[in-house]
Amino acid sequence: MKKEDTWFELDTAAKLYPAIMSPKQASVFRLSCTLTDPVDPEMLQTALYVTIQRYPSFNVRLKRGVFWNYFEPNTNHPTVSEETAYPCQMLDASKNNDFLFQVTWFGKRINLEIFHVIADATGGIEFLKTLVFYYLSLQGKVVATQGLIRTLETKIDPEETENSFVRYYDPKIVTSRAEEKAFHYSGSSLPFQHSRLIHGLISTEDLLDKVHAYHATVTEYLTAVLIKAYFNASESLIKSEDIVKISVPINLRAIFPSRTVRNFSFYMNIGEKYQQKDDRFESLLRKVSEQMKEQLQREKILARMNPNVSFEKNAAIRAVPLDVKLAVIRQVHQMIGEDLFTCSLSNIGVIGIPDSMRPFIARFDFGLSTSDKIPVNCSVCSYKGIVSITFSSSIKETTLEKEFFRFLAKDGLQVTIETSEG
Amino acid sequence: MKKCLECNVWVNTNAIRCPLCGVGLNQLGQSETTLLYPSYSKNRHGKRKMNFLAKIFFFISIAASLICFFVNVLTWNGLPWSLVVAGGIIISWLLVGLPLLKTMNLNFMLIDQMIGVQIYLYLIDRIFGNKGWSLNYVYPLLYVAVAIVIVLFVIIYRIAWHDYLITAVIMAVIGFYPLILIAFGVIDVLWPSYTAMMFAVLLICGLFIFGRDKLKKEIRKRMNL
Repeated sequence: MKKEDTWFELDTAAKLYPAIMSPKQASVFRLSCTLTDPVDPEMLQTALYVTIQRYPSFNVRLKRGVFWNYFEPNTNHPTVSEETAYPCQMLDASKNNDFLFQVTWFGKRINLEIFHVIADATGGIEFLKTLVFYYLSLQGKVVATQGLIRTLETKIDPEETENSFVRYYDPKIVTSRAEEKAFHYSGSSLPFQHSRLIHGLISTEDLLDKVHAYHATVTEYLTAVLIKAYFNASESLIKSEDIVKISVPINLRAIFPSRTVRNFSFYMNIGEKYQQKDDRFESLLRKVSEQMKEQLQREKILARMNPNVSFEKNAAIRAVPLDVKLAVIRQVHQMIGEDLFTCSLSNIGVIGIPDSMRPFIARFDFGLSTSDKIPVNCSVCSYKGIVSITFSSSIKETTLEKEFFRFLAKDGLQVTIETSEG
Repeated sequence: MKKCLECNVWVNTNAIRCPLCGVGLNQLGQSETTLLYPSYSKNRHGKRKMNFLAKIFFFISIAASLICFFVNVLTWNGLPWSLVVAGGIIISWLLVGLPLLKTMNLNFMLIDQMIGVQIYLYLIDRIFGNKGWSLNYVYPLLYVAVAIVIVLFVIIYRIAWHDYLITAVIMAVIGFYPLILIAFGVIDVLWPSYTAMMFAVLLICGLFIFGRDKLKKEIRKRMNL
């Protein structure tokens, strides 16, 4: 088949993003890889040329059809540039050779910013790993994939570009997703299209010891700490009946096997009513753990994710012209979409890098974009014994971050802070 | 490395205050931190200037239209010439502004501009004597010109020519509008309209002979089938 004949439908989750994208709601995430040496932009550019061949679902432009958007192979070439803009801002494809991702570099760091429409963080990490692999190879470093990197030598499995939501769709398993509204945190906004990242670095070993002592997982522990931080940070704003809800993305590949690099994640909303400060952290953590275990059941996830697939499969809805669909999705999203959670906590876990590459890579970071209703988001990843917890924010106040990291410090963890504000 | 004693955290920064609580940091050890993120001050100045320029032109456009409108009303002689001025300004925006935006498919832009110009010239025709030259000559001949340009695009930009297929189809359909005008007896000079329709028929023949498979695929894509 000729290149221009192939095209992709947007996957089930991606269909949302063209409707809601705006400078104030970028739906962009950033994966950064800090090397041990300064980045060579020309080599990075060459590595990107090679890498893009391996990921047809990244090598696309977004087009408007009659009923839905679709992807078409992008005949342009992606370019790398030095990082100058604030992190996780809206990607303007028309100024980016029509690409829906962007590779920038600063000092020793390579940043990959992705508009959520083409991939989720798990897909993005695969791309970044391949990019760094080729970059290091071009520099003459002796690196091997050890089965952890997708290169041009490994065949592109059609499964990698599939919409896995549809594969696991079962119209019989559905449930209502009605939920109580969540508390919303606010502050004084940073100027338009400004953002701030605060990274907190912790030793993975110390954190694991800590959470094991609580008989919890890392995500459970951090979610509970985040809820606690919200309680402490918003005492003047919050009412006793308010619920702080953390939206925790679930990587569905862990439950429903798939090799897709496109979107295949869902979320669970973990909530707790506002309590007084002196309440015990252990009981909060136990409640969070229970909620997570309950919501992570296979059937429960299917029942909540299937309505999305039914929505796109419904013939009557399909027949509605694209612009009407986008307008309706935008309205519904504005009215209820973001009302159900206070913020996200996305943990992509340990990033698997082959031993041969590890000496050249110092760190990975992961950041999310924000919106008017959700001005702060939290994201976590771990590599080489360091857990990087990133708060991205579009407000001036740092109270939430302060409460979060002070809690960790008080709980006996050594925290190192870095920020995008110098 | 520095330490904030209030927060009890280490801070890797050149700043003197804790990014979390704003209290002064304690320097422990000598290491200087390399810059972790770019300094954002030099950001996108060009774009803001461009917007400002556009704002100035927009303001001038509105001012000119309003002033002409008032002068026209105050010195009314039965001729609404200020509409011609306002229309001319809108058309200039269409012809100059749209290409500058660079967001639109070139051919869709051409079709929009063609329709805009046609409406404008019809307005002028109506205001100044209603002689019918716009419908008789300008409409069909402008159509033929734009159709030729689009066909040239399809031929020249072979790589992306599926992008232009749909516009060629739209042009072919538009080409038959003189039928309606003839049916209602609005036009009296027929040869330009026949020329336009002949072009539309040729366009359809060309699409079928050269681009049938492509067209099928393109339509399937756009309809998400």
